[in-house]
Order: sequence, then structure tokens, then C-alpha cells
Amino acid sequence: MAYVATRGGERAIQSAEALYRWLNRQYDPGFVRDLETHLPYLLDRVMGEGSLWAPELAALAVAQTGGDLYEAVLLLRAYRSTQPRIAYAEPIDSGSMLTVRRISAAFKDIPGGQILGPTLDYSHRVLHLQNSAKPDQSLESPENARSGALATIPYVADWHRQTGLMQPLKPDPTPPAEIPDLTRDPLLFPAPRAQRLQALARSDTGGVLALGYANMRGYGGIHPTVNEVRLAYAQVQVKHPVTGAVFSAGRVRYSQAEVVTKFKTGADGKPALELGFAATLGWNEVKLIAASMLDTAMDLPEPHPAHTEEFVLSHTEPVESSGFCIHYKLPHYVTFGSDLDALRKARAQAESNEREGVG
Amino acid sequence: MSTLAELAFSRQDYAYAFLDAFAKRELRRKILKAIAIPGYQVPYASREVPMARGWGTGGLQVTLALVGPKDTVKVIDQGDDDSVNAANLRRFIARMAGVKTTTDALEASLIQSRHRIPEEILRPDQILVLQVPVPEPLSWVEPSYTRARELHADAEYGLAWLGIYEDLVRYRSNTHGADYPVLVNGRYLMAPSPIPRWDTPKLHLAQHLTLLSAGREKRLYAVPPHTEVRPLEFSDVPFAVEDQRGWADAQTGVQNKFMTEIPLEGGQSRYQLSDSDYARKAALRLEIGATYYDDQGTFYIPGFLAERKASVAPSHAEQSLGTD
Amino acid sequence: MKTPSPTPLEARDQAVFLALMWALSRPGEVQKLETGGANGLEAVGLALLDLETSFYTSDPALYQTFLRLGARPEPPDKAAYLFFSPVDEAALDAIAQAPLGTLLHPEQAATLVLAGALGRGPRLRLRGPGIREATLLEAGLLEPFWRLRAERISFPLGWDALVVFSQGECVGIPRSTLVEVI
Repeated sequence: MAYVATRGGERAIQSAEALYRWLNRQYDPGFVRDLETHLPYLLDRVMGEGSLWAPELAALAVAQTGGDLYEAVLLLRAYRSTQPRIAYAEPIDSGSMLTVRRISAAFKDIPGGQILGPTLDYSHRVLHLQNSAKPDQSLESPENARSGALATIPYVADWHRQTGLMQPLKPDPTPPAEIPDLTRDPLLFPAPRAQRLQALARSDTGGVLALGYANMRGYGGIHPTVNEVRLAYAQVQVKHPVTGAVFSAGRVRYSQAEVVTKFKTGADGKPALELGFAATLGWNEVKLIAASMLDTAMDLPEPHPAHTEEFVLSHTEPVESSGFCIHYKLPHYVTFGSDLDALRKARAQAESNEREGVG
Repeated sequence: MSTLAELAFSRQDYAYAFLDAFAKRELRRKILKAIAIPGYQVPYASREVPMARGWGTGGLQVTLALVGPKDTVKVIDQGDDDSVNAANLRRFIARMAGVKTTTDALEASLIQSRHRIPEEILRPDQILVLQVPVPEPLSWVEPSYTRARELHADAEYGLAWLGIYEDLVRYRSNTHGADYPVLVNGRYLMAPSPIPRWDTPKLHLAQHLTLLSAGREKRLYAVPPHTEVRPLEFSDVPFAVEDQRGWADAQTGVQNKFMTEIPLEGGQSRYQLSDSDYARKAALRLEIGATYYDDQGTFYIPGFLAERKASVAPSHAEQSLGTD
Repeated sequence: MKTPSPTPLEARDQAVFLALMWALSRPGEVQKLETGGANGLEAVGLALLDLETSFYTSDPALYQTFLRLGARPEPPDKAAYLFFSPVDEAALDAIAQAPLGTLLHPEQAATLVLAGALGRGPRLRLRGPGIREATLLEAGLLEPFWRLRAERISFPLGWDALVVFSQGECVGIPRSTLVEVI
């Protein structure tokens, strides 16, 4: 009679939530602030998938859900849908952002230079066991750069374009308000490019990694090179509705990745490099490298089924996939009963066939 | 556009019925189109709401777009008003829209349901909102929604017929359980949501308006009143509802309403009415409205369901125990 | 938390929407349209239009009102919502161009909002979804309109009409309705 115990309406719901919260202990505002300070990559992931830049709220969401990231993302998304859209931001040139890391695997050196920036890529992955007992003593101040940062950091892809290896970029004059918006129009396939990039920006890190990795292992049929990975701070600029003056509404962490693959027929009819692109709020390199590879794989003439646009974008949506997955916990006894009826009928039919010696 | 009355209205933490005016208008525009094209899946933006996707967010959005302070709302899950998810949705709707709630199907102006249609015949002024997990009736034969949309465009439903035919060849029996595909207004194949086959005929020429909505898949569709809704069937192998003849509700002894089977130790079963408010009325001997199926299990539209064959149901049907 | 309540405009838009919903659910059956003082066509526009929709109207006052909502004016062959008062010859020329949707996306067909006159004009017999057997209606729209409708509509393609009467009433005639002039 276990099922009856989980029935019982509103009191049961309230008690279940209370028990959950009691087991996770109370958190205080200091903890939420600490999360914001010390777990920026976690919050970046939650904000990227939640498609809302709000570090304080993301920290609160993580605290409130005890670190259940799908729940935290859902909290941000649900909050986001209650917020009115008050303006459209001005387009940002990612070349002139405050870039803290920009690397290219395609060349040894590149215009603007390889900027290693903040990364664990070359650190030894050893647990700092001493830090579990006493405060971290090993923290060194990073060395100051010998020269100031460049105001703009050129794209590697610009070099490809200048040298004719890649098709020129067509300017797109669409005003911001008319760019197709995933949150206002349902995703239909083939998706407008804007919606595809929005879907990848909001996609589930783990889901995109799984499909991207399948692509890397050969299921995509492309062999890309990482042209560029960038981490930056971006100024979000908005036009004042009355004066028309452009002002900064704040700064967000932003990252983007570009991959190139060879031998795509270009506009001039000759083979050319094809660019795959992905960008997101927050710094999330794994997601972007996988997503930018999927971006090109989806454009192949006959992509592997796991790399068709519909397959990739439908199945890497974190709120939809996780929600549907856990919905199987809901009672399904009506549908199951109906299935049992069909099964019993089929079994009875099979028994009578056996008796009559048919089939 | 601001009016004085609007500006003077005190600021609220949330919009009435949670969704902002844009979200509601979009849903309303799409609902009107859905009604104009019975059975056709209209794509919609589908905002995130404070429930997980797959937990009734589609039905909830439609309910929130329709609801007003004068409504009386009933929410059921598997036929049960007291199921936790039904209670949760009801609590949210009441909190955000300030509506009266009820468990009585005949008292409600708006019924949001997961997987059941009440046993009592709904009135012309009532609206039934069905939560839909998988809106695409072709998904069992064509997993790509993009290709399925092309098949709907051409009314090309051969694959669905073939699926049923192959079942018949393989099992000599139609293996479809709930969510039995139906043809609406002779044009669109539609997933009626995972209602049991028992409930499928209730949509045919119904007096009430049915709206179906899948929040995760972002599709909503409608069955207007007095619209033909026919299950896919071969003339020589007619559509059949679940065979529960001989099953009686353990508490009230009621038969010939949809039952839930509850396993008992030792391989036996007892049965319980799935429509919990119908069960409540029956137990308290309250007045019950006209029902889609009478006490003998005969459907209220003569001739719509084929005459049932003698029960092939195995012996478990006789195992109904009259004890709780 | 305090339960939110609808603002006056929200209450009006909800009431108008419900009238339109029942109008299309029960084609030809007259529904009460509570417009809160606005004229009928205007009230329908206020309930349905915003930044995300396009419209066409030859009525300058309506045009200004809808523009203020943020809705996008478009020519009749592109607009999603078309408003006509009166439904004269010029209106019929525009209606003849209104989008019918595509087989992949029949919902992209236009919605027509028309000023009619209840109890006037040719007598119609309506059949189809939403109608138990048949409904009789005189909506004040003349025969050329119905001829045009018969030419343009081929279910599931075709526009849906909402006919608004000056007495604060409306009827819906979706594309699914078979209309006979009798």
C-alpha cells in the first residue's frame, strides 16, 4: 500500500518539502554570498543553462535546491519568465570585449597573441588535502602583465577570410527586436540560425558534451580544429528609450568557441573552411567546444541521426529533458492499467490461437 | 496603453494568474487557431512555469490563460483530485488566480486533467484541459516531429494504419493501451493524451470544449464541441475499450466505470474507481449526473462503439475481492 | 503571498478573449462581447495584438490604436490580423489577399475581424465542428463576401472570421465551418 502513503494532497506535499529542507540544513545569506565568490564556474553553468545573468539569484537557486543543478536551472528559468522585457541590448562585438583568455589550436601564434588567461588546463589534478584542514596557504598573486591588454583582439577567422580560405561574412542588418527568439517562438526545424545558437547557448552541458563527443569519436564525420576559444567580460549596452543615449546596463561573463573544418565548398565554388560557432553566458569551455562542433555537424548534407538539428536541439534542452525524465515518477496507473488490458487481451488471444492450433 | 485606473492599480508581486500579459495573449491567440483547426497541433512559445516540464506545464499554461476570478477549478491526476501532483497544481492555480476549487466535476467551470475524463457527462459551458506528454500521434511510427508535420500536412496516415495492422498480424490483437490515436473532424490524426481507451469515445461529439496542451513539446490543440473524433479502427477489428467487466469497486460495489487495479499479496487484485469524486458521490449516495457509460457499461451515443465480444479476459476478472 | 487580482484591462481582455473562444467553438452562435466602452473591433484588437503580431486595417483610428500597442502594420497579404469596417468592395479586395496558411503551418492563416449586422443580409446555414447539426445566421455580410470565402477556403487552409456586431455581440466563423447561403 506504499502508493497510498504518497497520496494525500497538500499536507503530504508540504511535509515532503519540509523534510527535504531539514535534511539540507538551513543556509544563511553569508553562504549564498560565498557560493557567488567561490563557485563562479558552477554559477556560470547554471546561469548559461538558465539563460539569465544574475549571480546572486543563481547562488540562491543553488543553495535553495541543495546543489541539484537541474532544479536550480529550472528556478532561474521560471523566474526569468516572470520578468518583463524592457529593452533589446545593442549587438556586442566580441573582438572588443575585455578578453581574459583567447587561445587557438590552429596556429602556434596568432594576431593578437595566444592569451592563456585563467585556466586549470595545465595544473596537476591533485587534491589539495591540506586545505581541508586549514585555510589555503598556497594562493599566489598572479603576475601582472608586462603590457596593457589590447583594446581589440582580432579573430583568427578574420585571417582565414582575408586569405580567402573562408567565405566572407555577410553583414546581417536585422534589428535586435526582429531576431527570432527561442523564448517567444517555438523551435521549428530547420531552425533560424539565431534560434539554433540560442538553443545551444541554453543547452545542457552534459547533453551537449555527450552528443559532441559522439561527433568527435567519428559519428559526425567531421574533424574540426579549435580555431579559437575566448573568455571575456562583456558590457551589455542598452539604448535609453527617451534620450536615445547608449549606456552600460552591466557586465556579464561571456565565452565563445569557434571550430573550423576543411573542405566545404565555398561561395567561389572552391573548397573552403567551414566555421562552427557557439557562445554562452558565463565561462563554460567544455560546452562551447562540443556545441561549436555540433553546429557544423548539423550542417552536413546527411548528418548522422544523432547530429540532425532536431535531434541535437530537442534532446539537449536541460529543463525539458530533466523534467520529462523525472515525470516518470508521477503516477501512471491509468496508462499502465490500459496497457495491461491490451497485454492480457493479446495473451488471451495467443492462448486461444494455441488451442486452435493457428499462428 | 496606460489608463488612470490601470496606473492607480496597486503593484503586485506576480501578474494575475502568474503569466504576464504577453504570455497570455500569445496562448490565447494560439488557442483560437487551435479551435479553428480541430486536432491540429499549434506550436506555441511555452514559458517556463514553477513546475518541472512534463508535470502539467502545458495544461497549466492553458488554464492560466483562460482562468478568471469567477471560475471554479477542478484538477485531477489519474482521475484523482487528491493525487499529489493534482493537489500541487490546484494549490498553485488557486494561489495565483484566486479561484474557487472543487472536486465535483459538475461544479467546475474549468477542469484540468492528467490522463482521465470524468465519468459524468460534461456540460456545454465546461472546459476540459488535458495535459499532454507526447502531442504527436505519429511519434510511435515517426520519431522526427519535423517529418511527422509533413505527414500531417499531406494527411498521410498510412504509417499509423500500418502500425496497427502489423500489431494485428503479430499478436492478432490491437496492443494500443492508453493514448489511442483518433482522427478528428475526418482530417487530423490526434493524440488524445494518455487517457484510457475507456475515455476516448467521450471526445466524440462532446458538448464541452476540450483543449490539449503539451508544455515541453510546445504544442496545443483542441477538440471543439460537436466534433467527430473517431479512433483508428479496421471495420473487422473494431476499437475496444478496456475490458473490465466483472470488476467492482471495493468500497461501493460500483461496476462499469473505469477502475484502477490494485495488486494484493498472493497475486490477487482489488479494484477501485479511478474517478475519485465519482467514488465519493457513490459512497455518500449523493446525486450523480448523467454518465457517459450507464450501469451496464453501455456508451451514451448508440452505435458508436461496436458491440462487445464475450469477455476474453482471463480468470483474474473473477478475483475481485469485496474487501478493503 | 497575496493572491494577485486582474487589473481592469486584464479583466476586459480576458472577457473579450473568452467571448471569441466560445464564438469560434460554436460557430454562428451569438456571444456577448463585453468591450468596456471600446468599440467591438477595437476591443478584439486590444485583446489579441501586441509587439509580436502584425495587423492590417483601413480604419485610421484603429490603425493608430494598434500602432500604440506595438503591433506591426503590414499589407493585407502579410498581416496576421485584418480588421474591416465596413466590409465593402475595398475590404473584399484586401481580404482576397489575406494569408491562408500553408499545409505545414495552417495556423499562419489570417484572422479577419469584421463589422457585421446581426439579423441583416443573406441567410446562412452553418455546419461543421462546434455545430450540432446546423445553425442559421444572418450576419450582415453580403453575398460577395461568402462567394470569396467559398473560393479561398479549403480546409485546413483558410482564414478564420470573427464578426462583431454593434450591440456588443459577436459570432465566429472558423475555416472549418461549411457556409451555405440559403
